[in-house]
Amino acid sequence: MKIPDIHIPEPTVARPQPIWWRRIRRNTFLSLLVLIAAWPVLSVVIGTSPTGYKYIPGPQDIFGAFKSVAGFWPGGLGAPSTQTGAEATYWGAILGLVYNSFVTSLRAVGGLLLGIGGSITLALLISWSKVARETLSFPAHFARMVPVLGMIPLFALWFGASELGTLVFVSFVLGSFVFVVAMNGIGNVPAYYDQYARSLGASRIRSYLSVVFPAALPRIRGGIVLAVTWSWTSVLAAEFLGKDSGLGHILSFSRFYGATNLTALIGLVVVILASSSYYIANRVLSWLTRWSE
Amino acid sequence: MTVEGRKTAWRPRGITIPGGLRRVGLAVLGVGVLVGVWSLVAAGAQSVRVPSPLRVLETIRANFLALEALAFAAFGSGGLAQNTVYTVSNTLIGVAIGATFGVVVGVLVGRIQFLRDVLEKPLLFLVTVPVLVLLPFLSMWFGVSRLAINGMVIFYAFVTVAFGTQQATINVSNYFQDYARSLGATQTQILGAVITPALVPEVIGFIRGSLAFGWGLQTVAEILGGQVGVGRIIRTFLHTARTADMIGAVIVLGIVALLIDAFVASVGKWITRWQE
Repeated sequence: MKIPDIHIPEPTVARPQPIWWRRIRRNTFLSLLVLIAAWPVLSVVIGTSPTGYKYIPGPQDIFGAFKSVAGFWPGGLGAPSTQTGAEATYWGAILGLVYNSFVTSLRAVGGLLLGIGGSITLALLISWSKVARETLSFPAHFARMVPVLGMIPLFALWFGASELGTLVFVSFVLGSFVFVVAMNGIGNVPAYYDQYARSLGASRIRSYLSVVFPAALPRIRGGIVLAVTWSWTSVLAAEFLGKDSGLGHILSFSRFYGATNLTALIGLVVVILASSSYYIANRVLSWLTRWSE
Repeated sequence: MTVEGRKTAWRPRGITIPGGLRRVGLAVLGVGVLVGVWSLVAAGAQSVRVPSPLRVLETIRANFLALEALAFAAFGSGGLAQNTVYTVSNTLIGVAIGATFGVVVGVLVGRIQFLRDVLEKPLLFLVTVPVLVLLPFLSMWFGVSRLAINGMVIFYAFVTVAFGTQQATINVSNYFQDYARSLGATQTQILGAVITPALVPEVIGFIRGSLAFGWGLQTVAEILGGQVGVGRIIRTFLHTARTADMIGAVIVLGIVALLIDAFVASVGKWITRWQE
């Protein structure tokens, strides 16, 4: 008797999707596609301003504006400055974009480090004494409410167009905010943290630096991340009003001539830089506070 | 020493100052320290660079109702008071519009999975956008209108409140929704009686944050192109190198901002008096 062949199908194993695909939900992907498809359509439908630029520049307009960035390159490396009568080139535009992005980033990072470092150090020193903390908490709160961004003309008057003025302005804007957050963060650390450390023999300063400050860091983290975003806004404000280089200077120029395509291009670069810095800051702070819940 | 005696904390004998009075006293002392340092710096610097606190007070009094410099240099009218009212009302309107839309969008995105899939990432992206990038576009789209000047405040308040409310809604939903549902609450009851009240403390925090930054954004927009407002005054003073007047305008707006923040905080405290 012949035994009939029994076909046993091989077990099928679902092919695992890559991690990046699992993270992106289908609807998110679709919304992005719709946005990309709608952009050029909106750009054409909404129309053109009396100055000849589109109200909403499309992708081709942004690409077309790229060459004009060559006008913001001071000259050198095989691309002479257009102010000397030389023609704008793509190489000059690349150098112009890199140069101005670098200048703005340097000002933002410098102001950020100075502002955050200075304000947290000051908050640590003041919070050492409860009386000092309570004495300065009201002036600090007032400083947070004052329209610091609107004080840029004052800094222009005090420091002129110097780089020091820009750095001090950015660090002042960010510092006045982070200082209050740091004071609150340190003030809200439960007293028993310090008491436990002291009862185990830690000196006051050791308990303060090894227990109180690390415990306050997760509370200060949100303020620092927000300060990273605000560093770009404050640098742009400073460059808008009194600098002859940087992305804010180009934005100010494009605003003056109503050149929406150049504004969109520079806006895109600023957004990419700001988002990247936000992402990096978030990752670094997550790593630093990885022990917290 | 008895066991009870050990439990009793040692306290110094002397005058006890009530907590509220102590806080006010220390706040006054803090302002005094600040003014003292300022006076010292001003004494060693030129008046045009760092004017003394008294000089600044004098300019506030002189500019309060009428401002000759504004009429002469910028064909404007009104004094510090009138322009401050303009800036304050614009900022409040901007934050109110932005926050209202922000709460609605935040709750919807937090509650409805489809909207969360579509809008969560764009919202996160918008949070990282430096607001000042919008200013050239607002000027081109809306000219020198009130909306062009106010657009940054509306945008910032919307994004901040929407993002914060969305996160808070997700957190609140996780914790309280299951409890309420296990007690037999319907979806409408959960939204109205559980989630909305639980969101209020966090939403008020985000509104205060938007307000704190809103003053600066409004002033910068006015400096760069406003026809009225504190920013416009600051621009006029900059052109005539009147530092004391400039500082005076900033301080007046700061005091009003502080009072409004205290008012919003008190209202928030009253609304959330059920909290522990």
